[in-house]
Parts: sequence; C-alpha cells; structure tokens
Amino acid sequence: MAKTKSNDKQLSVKKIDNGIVIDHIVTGGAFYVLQALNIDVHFPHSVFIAMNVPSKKLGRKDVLKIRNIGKEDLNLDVLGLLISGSNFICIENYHIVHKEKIQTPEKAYGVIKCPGISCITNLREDVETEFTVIGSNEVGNRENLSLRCVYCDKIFKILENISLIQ
Amino acid sequence: MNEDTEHQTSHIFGIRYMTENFIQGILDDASEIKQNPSKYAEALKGKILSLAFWEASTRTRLSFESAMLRLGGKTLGFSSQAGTSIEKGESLSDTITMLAGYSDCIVLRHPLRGSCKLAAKIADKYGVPVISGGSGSQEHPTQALLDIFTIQEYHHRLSGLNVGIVGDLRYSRTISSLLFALGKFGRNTIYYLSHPSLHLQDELVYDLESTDLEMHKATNLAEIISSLDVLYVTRLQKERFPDPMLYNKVKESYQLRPDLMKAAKEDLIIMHPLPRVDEIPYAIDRFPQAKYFEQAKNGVYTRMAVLNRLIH
Repeated sequence: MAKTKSNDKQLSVKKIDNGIVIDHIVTGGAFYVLQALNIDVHFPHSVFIAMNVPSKKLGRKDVLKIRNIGKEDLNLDVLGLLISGSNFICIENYHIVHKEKIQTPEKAYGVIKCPGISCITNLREDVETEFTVIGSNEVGNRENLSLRCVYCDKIFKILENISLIQ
Repeated sequence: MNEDTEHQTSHIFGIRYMTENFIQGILDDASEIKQNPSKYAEALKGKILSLAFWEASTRTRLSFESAMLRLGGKTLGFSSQAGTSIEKGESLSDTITMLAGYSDCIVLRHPLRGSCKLAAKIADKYGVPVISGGSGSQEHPTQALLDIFTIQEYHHRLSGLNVGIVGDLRYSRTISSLLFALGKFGRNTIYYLSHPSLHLQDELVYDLESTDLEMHKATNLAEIISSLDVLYVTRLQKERFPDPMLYNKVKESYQLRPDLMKAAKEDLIIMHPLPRVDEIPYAIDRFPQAKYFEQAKNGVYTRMAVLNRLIH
C-alpha cells in the first residue's frame, strides 16, 4: 500500500477520492474479500491492500481501499459471511458519505455454491441456493462460522469451502 | 409436516419438521383406519396420487399405491427414469410442474439430497402437497411413521424404550427419521452398532444433540440384546464398501444369529425396513419377536392416514 508519510507510531495510507474502504478486517480476511469481489489483475480500478498491519483494536488487521466502486457493487451478505465486524465506508470526493459495521447475515441466498456433491442445487435446476448461518462469527472466532444448506442439510465451514456463484 | 411458513401447502419432508401432535394424530388415524378400513373406502374418491420414483422402490411405492386405492383414489406415475422424458434430460423442476397439473398429491423418491424440498417449493405454487419417499440419504419420513406405529402397537408407548439400531447408519434413509421420531417422544436410549465407515452422519449427530435421546455406541449384538425393547436392523449395502472383501469380512458382525435370541426379552420386537439380505437369516422369522412383515403391512395404514390428511 502506498504510504504518504511514515513514522514509528502511526501508519498512514493514501486517501482515495471515490470508492470504498473496508477497515478492521481480521488478518487474512482481505484475500477472501478480493475473491468474493472477483478482483484480480484485470480489475480496472486501483486497489490498495494492507495486510497484517498494527491495530489498537485487533492487534493486527487488514485494510482494503478500492477506487471507483460503491455499495451497490457489493453483496454485503457475502462480506458478512467472511469479515463481519469490519467497518465498511463509502467515500465521495474524499468525504465519508456512509459508514456501517458489516454484520453476519442469518441466511445467505444465491451467492454461494453448496459443496455437497449430492445436493440438488448442483444439478441443472432452476433453484437459488439457500443457507442458514450457524456457529459464531465473533471477531477472532471467524473460523468456526458454518453454513447449513437448506436443501441437502450439509454443514460446512465457510472459509474452507467458499465457492461463489459469479 | 413442514413448519416452514414459506410454504402454503402442507408437505412432508422429514420427521424433524413435524410436531409431536401431528405425528400422534397420524398414528391415531392409522390405528382407526386399521380397525375400520371400510369406513375410509371412498375417502379420496376422485383424487389422483402421482408416484414419481427416480429410484427403485418396492414397499414405499406399492404401499402408497395400495393406500391410495384403499382410500378410493387412483394413482399414476413412473418407477424409474426409463421411458420418461427424464431420460431425455428433463429437469426435476419441469417434471414436478407437470405432475402438479395432473394430480392432487405427489410422492417423490429421488437420488439427490434436497430434491423433495425443491419439489415442494415448485408444487406449492399449485397447492399440491409433496411427500418424500426418500431424497438421497436424507430422511424417509413415512417409513419412520410406520416404524413408530408398529412400536406403539406392541409396546403401547414411545418413550422409555431401549432401542438397538444395527447396520448401515450412514446411508440408510430410515435411521435418521426413526431417531428424530424417537427423539420427539421423551427419553429413549439408543444403542447403535455399525462399521466405522457407516456411522451416523455428522449433520444427524448435530441435530440429535437437541433431543432427549441417550446415545450409546455398542461393540456387538450379544452385549446389548438382552436389554432391548426394539431391535432395528438395516441392510449393509455392499456397494458402500470400498473393498468387497471388507464387506464379506464384516457382514457377520452385524448379523442377527438365532443363538443370540436366547438372551432376548420376550417382548422384544425385531424390525427391518426391508429388503433384508444376510443380516436377518430366515431362521429368525420363526421367532415370535420377528415383526418386520407386520411392520411392512402397517405401511399401508400409516400412508392411508398421511394421504387422508394431506389431500383435500
């Protein structure tokens, strides 16, 4: 990530003019977010990634800044499955115009594929996947978050099985 | 009965979604029908039941057919994919939509998990109830209804029972439904015995934690048979074993040999969802505790009760 200034006490990163910032991501979570947002080398806008940086709240954290996208480009339910507790901020002309804490959804519809190999949703059928969130998604306990397929009942840990429907 | 409020029509996916009152109502109806079958001979006259079986079935399909005919209704359907448009690639969704237009209720058996729930979602739009006859290795709810009907018939209670379950606990459709059913009627003790590769599914173990069932792992039949009120045996499915040699080696460990019956209680009932292969030899049929054919016959009465409740 580009630094505008640096000293021993504070990490400072370049402000973006328009776009989104996701702060206080539990370390390692930034990778999942990039995957969820389908961001790769072909993505047309600037992406700033800070990983494993010092944080008063978390000890260490990840931060993402993505230019020229807005809330409408994101599925906050998907982010809620991956990085709940993080702060989501929208920037316009260098000003914060929206800020919210990312929450774990109770259900997830149509965004994740079921890893159950014998699940009807993986067949050529006109059906939206549906999952119930079980387990804890407290910050620091994210690994225990599990989903249960409403159709086949399979229970799986989200971070070990995430396969998004693009 | 499905408690999901998203569905307007009553469907039967699994015992876990049924209330104790609903189950008891079905058992009471089945008992009444068994005693006075002629009273119900025209209960569903003019109604049609679809039997949509993507997989082979003998007892489930034929007992549903018998039940519908005994209630004065008619049946249509298919018992394999052969000769239907499914062979041409027609989806489950399209097949169910079509059947919902042809009939008043659909009984479904399909190899994939979740298929019954998807079918119910589709048939719901037409006000047609769907009954699961088995979707993948998920529940087989009407089998459990006839199982506990049989248990109640002989033991006059559904709680305080010592129940042994033996065989394939992982892929057997009947085991999960039976355990959910027994878990709804108070404290029952379950002794389970199976090969390590055929233990209960993790999801089922998770779900059963919220019931009052007391679960004990058994190491052999001889150790538990003297304390049992019910012995429920399921078929070891040869195809589930990675090595046929292993199947041949372990199958005798789960066989109910006649000499084991010396220790059994007089009022033990031996149950099996059938078909049986090697796990219950013919010699066991001669013991008064063998109730599996009576159990199969009860499938007609309980399914009559189910159809009579769901079809309007």
